[in-house]
Amino acid sequence: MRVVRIGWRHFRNLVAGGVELDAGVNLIEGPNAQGKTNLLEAVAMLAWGRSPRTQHDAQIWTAGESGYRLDGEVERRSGSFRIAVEASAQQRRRWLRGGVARRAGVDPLGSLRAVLFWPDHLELVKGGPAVRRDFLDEDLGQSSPRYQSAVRRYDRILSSRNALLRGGEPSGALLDAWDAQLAEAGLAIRAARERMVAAIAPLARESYAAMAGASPALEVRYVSGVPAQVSDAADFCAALRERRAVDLARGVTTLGPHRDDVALAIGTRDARSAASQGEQRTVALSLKWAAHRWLTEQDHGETPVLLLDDVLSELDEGRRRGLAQLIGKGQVLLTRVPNEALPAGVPVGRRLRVEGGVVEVLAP
Amino acid sequence: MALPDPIARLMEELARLPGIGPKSAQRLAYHLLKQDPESVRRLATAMVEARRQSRFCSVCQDLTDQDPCRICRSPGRDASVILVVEDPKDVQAVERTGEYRGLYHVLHGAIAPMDGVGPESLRIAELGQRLLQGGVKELILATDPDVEGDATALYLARLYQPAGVRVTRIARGLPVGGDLDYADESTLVKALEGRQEI
Repeated sequence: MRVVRIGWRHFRNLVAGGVELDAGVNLIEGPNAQGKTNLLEAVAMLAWGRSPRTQHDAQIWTAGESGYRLDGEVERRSGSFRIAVEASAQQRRRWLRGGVARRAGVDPLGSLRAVLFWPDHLELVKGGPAVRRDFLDEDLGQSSPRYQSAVRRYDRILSSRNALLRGGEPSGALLDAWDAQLAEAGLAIRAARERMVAAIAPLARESYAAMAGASPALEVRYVSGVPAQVSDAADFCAALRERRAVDLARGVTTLGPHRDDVALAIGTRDARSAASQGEQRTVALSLKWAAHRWLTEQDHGETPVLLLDDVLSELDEGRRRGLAQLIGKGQVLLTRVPNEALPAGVPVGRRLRVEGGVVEVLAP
Repeated sequence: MALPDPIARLMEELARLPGIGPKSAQRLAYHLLKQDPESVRRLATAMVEARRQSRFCSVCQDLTDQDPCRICRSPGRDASVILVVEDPKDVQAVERTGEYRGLYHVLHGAIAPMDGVGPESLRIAELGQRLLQGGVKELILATDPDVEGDATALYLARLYQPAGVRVTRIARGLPVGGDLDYADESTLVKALEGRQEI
């Protein structure tokens, strides 16, 4: 799948314009703070219907304007379609396909999928569990609208239950009603995450081995926030009842998939506490590489669009190789500051130059 | 240029209505000002009278102009079945089917802890009273199929199942006459779960 053309109006520093993209590697060049990342963000928003950087649309439209719009033409094997994202001071952000507002990503054949890798993702290893849950929900979860709707539902149930815990002395019957719903959504999420992590673990291990050579293997393991002995909704509710006094005292729900994590280890060493800077980069890249491959499998061989921002600096030989392998498949948008070297063997399809919010196509 | 006070006040009042933004309020206000005074008076009277003559039915809590309401007083209705809904407009929706012959109970909302709405803010105690009076064999829970509506239904089931009343939840699934491929994922999943032998 690929983005054939993208257009924008008042999107950050990109004032108004558009550009045709190559089906292979699009190299986006230009000095820092000129708008390279904004172009990647725009593609990510067409895919997900929201920004990977902010929830506040007023930060997105160009200063002095009161709204923005992005337009994209997407080509999949099943056909082409147009998608758009727009928001303004009067109109909340919405995602449109063929001019009709919908929820982004719900229809697999009418959606754009993307995998983004940028410097923030080094936190995948050293950051808190929330970063890794985001990886499960946002990278892997985009293959399953059903999973995403379970997550949305779970979040709403959880917020309601927590509000109830904090709001004085809720009756047992009232908490039971929320527990039953939390259990149902929670079990669906646990099953899906178990399956996703089991699927990407060998892919991440393979990718890590290709980059890190003789190092011990990368182990990726799902750590559930639901006790292991819980096997059905009745168990889940029983576990919640057992914790009820603690939950009431703390005013939060202390059990459930909102406390999940993904354990990362290199051999027997916990990567979170013991990985070097270089190893962290390699692990993060391996996870993204695995997500890209898994999404491709889930989508019957159609590759998601790969968005790589500021990944060319600090590459050792192994990661350079890994990156070259990753870039070999499907459409890629890759940013680089002038004079940064590309990994050997990366075929550049189109060179774009971004300067002062203006995007131009360079002669090949 | 400032608007004359009465017009500005009219727009302000209209803009308080649900679904009416400043633009629509302006359009409605100018429309009203163009009408002849008699038709505007009819509209105003209809609003004032509707408000003055409606109250809640002391039995089912639906909006009514006479207490108990027409449905609760009707001898043709089956008093052993009560269908529980969130809003008066849900009663109208079910009545339009012409298929339901039992009685109703309107909760006036759903349990929503995030908005501070607990069972005590809803007409649940009144429902309990009706069950205590006996004669009710089935309670059909028809709250909305969202997180709050489901929680409300589960809560009511827990309250009243022990009392020996049959408690049911309306089914969810595909809309009749709809296209399968237009159904959203969760509706399809629920429809699959609720499949039946034919």
